[in-house]
Amino acid sequence: MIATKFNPLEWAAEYAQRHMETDPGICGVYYLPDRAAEREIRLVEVNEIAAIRDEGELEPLEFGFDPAGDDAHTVKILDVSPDQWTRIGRGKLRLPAGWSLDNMRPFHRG
Amino acid sequence: MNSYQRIWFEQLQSDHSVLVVLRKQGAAPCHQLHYLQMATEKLGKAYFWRTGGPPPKSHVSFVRFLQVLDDRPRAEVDRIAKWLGFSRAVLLHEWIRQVSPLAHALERLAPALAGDSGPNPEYPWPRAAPAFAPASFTFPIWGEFKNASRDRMLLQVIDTAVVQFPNYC
Repeated sequence: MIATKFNPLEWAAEYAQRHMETDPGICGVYYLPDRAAEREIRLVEVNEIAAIRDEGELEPLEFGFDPAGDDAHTVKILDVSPDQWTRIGRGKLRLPAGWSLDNMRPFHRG
Repeated sequence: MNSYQRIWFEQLQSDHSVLVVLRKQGAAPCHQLHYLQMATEKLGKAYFWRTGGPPPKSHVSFVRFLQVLDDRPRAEVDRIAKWLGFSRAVLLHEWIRQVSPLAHALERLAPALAGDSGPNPEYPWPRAAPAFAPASFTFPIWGEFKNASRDRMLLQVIDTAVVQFPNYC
């Protein structure tokens, strides 16, 4: 991964592409920039074969990238099923606190 | 490795050691699948404690764990790939793609996900009128582990990932 000036959208696209390459169950990745911290990348990954429980609150998984480097950032990924994603879109299922669908950017398989 | 990871790693090693014993003794597939499932989930959870905060309470996918290793800076992925038995990072990336359907299928066997009508390695099913016992059930996924080389390799990578955990965690 190469980046000059930190650009969260480019990083989001890179993660989306890599994850779709390695997991055939991912049918869509959505970058949710609204209300995220400056170096925080929020992604929703919709997966039709992953083991995703449909109970309780939705919780993202978090990891950091190169904490001491120029491109240091945090990634938060929310795995959801297609049904959960539909319910999120209809307002029937809540995103994690502080997350928003406003200004969402979708990535699909090319 | 931080103190939280150390605790999870201790439990991971213990679960994995049981898996190795079950495999050596040729235990019924249900028991091997059960411990395989527990070991892969704990591997993921032990790794994701590296931020210092807890991973989600829900299931943490083994595929996600592999993807996040693959997302690290290139020089680190090169090293991790070698530790896991791949000569180049690109081969690790390609292998994740090949093995992810099987890894997801393994995780879907968990009783909470398999539902009342699906096979799981722990409890007879269906719950209201049991017709199948895991001990004698022929798990289709087990045949895949036994037959395809890339799937047998999943077991080797899991073994290696546990042993090498302190190097990349």
